[in-house]
Amino acid sequence: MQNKYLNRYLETQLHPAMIAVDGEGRLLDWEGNLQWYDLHLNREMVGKRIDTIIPFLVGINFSTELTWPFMTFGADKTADIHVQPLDLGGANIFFIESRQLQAVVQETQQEKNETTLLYNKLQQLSTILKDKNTALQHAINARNQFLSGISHEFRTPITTILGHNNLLISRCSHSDESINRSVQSIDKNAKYLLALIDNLLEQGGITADRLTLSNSIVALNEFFHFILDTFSVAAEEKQLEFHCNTSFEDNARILIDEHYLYLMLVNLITNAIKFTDHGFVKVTATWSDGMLSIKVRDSGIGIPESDLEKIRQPFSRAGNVGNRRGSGLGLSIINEVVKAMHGNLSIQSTTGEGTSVTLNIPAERHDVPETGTTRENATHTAEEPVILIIEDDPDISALYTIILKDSAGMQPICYESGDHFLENIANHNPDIIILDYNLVDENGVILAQMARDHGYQKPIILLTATSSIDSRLSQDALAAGCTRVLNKPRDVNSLATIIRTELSNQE
Amino acid sequence: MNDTLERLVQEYRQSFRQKAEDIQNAWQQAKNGRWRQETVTELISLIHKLAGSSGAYGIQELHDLTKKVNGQLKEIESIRHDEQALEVLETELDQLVRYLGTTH
Repeated sequence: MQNKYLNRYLETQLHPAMIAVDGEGRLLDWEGNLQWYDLHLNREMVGKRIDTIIPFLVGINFSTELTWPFMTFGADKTADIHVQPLDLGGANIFFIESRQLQAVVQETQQEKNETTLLYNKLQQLSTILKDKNTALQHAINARNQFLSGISHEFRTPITTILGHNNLLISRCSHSDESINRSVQSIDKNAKYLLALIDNLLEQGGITADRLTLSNSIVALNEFFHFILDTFSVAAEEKQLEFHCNTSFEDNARILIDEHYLYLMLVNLITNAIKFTDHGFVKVTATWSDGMLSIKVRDSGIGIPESDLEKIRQPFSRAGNVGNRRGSGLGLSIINEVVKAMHGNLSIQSTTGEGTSVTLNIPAERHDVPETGTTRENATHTAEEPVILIIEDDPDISALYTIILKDSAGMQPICYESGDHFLENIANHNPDIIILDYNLVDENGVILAQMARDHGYQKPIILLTATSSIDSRLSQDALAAGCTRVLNKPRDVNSLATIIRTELSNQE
Repeated sequence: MNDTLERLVQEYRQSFRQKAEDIQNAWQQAKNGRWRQETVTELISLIHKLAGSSGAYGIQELHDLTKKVNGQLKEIESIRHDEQALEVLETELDQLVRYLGTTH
């Protein structure tokens, strides 16, 4: 439209013309056939200011030489009109250089053609991109369906393993320590597998920017005893020495995402055992000034220096791994997790002598509150701990009651709401409180805060039904005085074990 | 599994029909109220509880179904003007109710 309008205007202006005006711009004479739309110059116009006859000449000073930019209508083009004053007895000659205008028209036409060509090319590209986008969307949908299907296929047997293992946990005699340790190890590792499936298949991989960490209170001595128990069997099978040396204070506790800490150690120790045929695997761990340092050292095949950086990338393996199986994901996962925890990972290795991997992770100490005044009205014995449960879903509280009472020999007392919560604490003097996070009219974090504000100093566990614990919820809960935040689905059957652990930490 | 626990799981499964009916009623209420927040409260509460209890009882398929619905319902303010998202939600609710109605 713009070009059409411009052209129509220029067509009327293309006649070469020469106009004589005086120093004030008054029309004296003209040569040629200049017209302003339908207006033709005529003799009656002599003496009139030229800018009253041809409006676009307004503002021109006809007494000096100038080049006047002529703005075209609606198009981003200018043409210079040259005014050359000539001394012709008091008159100036004003020459409209219409050839310049012709050049603008030609240039505009050429640009219009180029624009049309470009537009057509863009249209073609746009069609190609749309087609490619549709194809990609189909591929993504197919991949998601595949991953979702695979995820389900993995989940089903693991859930079955967990279910049967929970039955074993509930049937185990508590005095049979070795079996207890084994079933707990199965439980922990099956849950670790489930979490890996969540991360790898459902969230599309573990990367530092996607990880949501959820800190809980980790008792360091207990955690590393568990590590020692878990990997001793695999090390023994290869006749390797396996040591786990720690130098933590008794009852040392830190705030860290236990699950991901475990995940990193599983990867490091599994690798160390896998690539060591003779000698040892040693884990040393220290905590000092807010920094947890863990070193896993082995006397294995080592990593060539040229591969040390490469193996931090997903699906990359050192050149000397031979036919040992592996996905090349382990170290890249650790790399991402340690980044998300704002820590660092360093690797020293000598081919044929062994490898040493060190993790430094910032982790705050969690101080156990000192025991306050003892409640006088305790009615239970140490063998029958009293568990106060606030859970508004009767289906779940019935399950807790059965599991904790029949299988674990505890005294669960369930309430459906937080009404009379403080009164109930005073009456039952519970050894531990289990709170549902999402109650009908309240939330468990507020109840935990109330309990702490009124001097309750024993463990409080917060349970939530969400599949992944939000880091803010976790922070709020710990700040309010909760000792742990757990998922309902995966942890309910091992609740008794967790309760026992918490109770033993209190002793 | 000890007898009491087995009985408890059985009772939980037997409550599925009632739960399906409750969800359908709450669903209808939400639809009548054009999915405004105040008319969805009951449905959110029922689904949230079911997500918790199905996981606790280890019924993974039901847990997965309720988790999906729960996730959609959390976004109800943003999806209630989005016909496509509402359609997805209702399809998932339908699957859930069918599951509850046919599984014992």
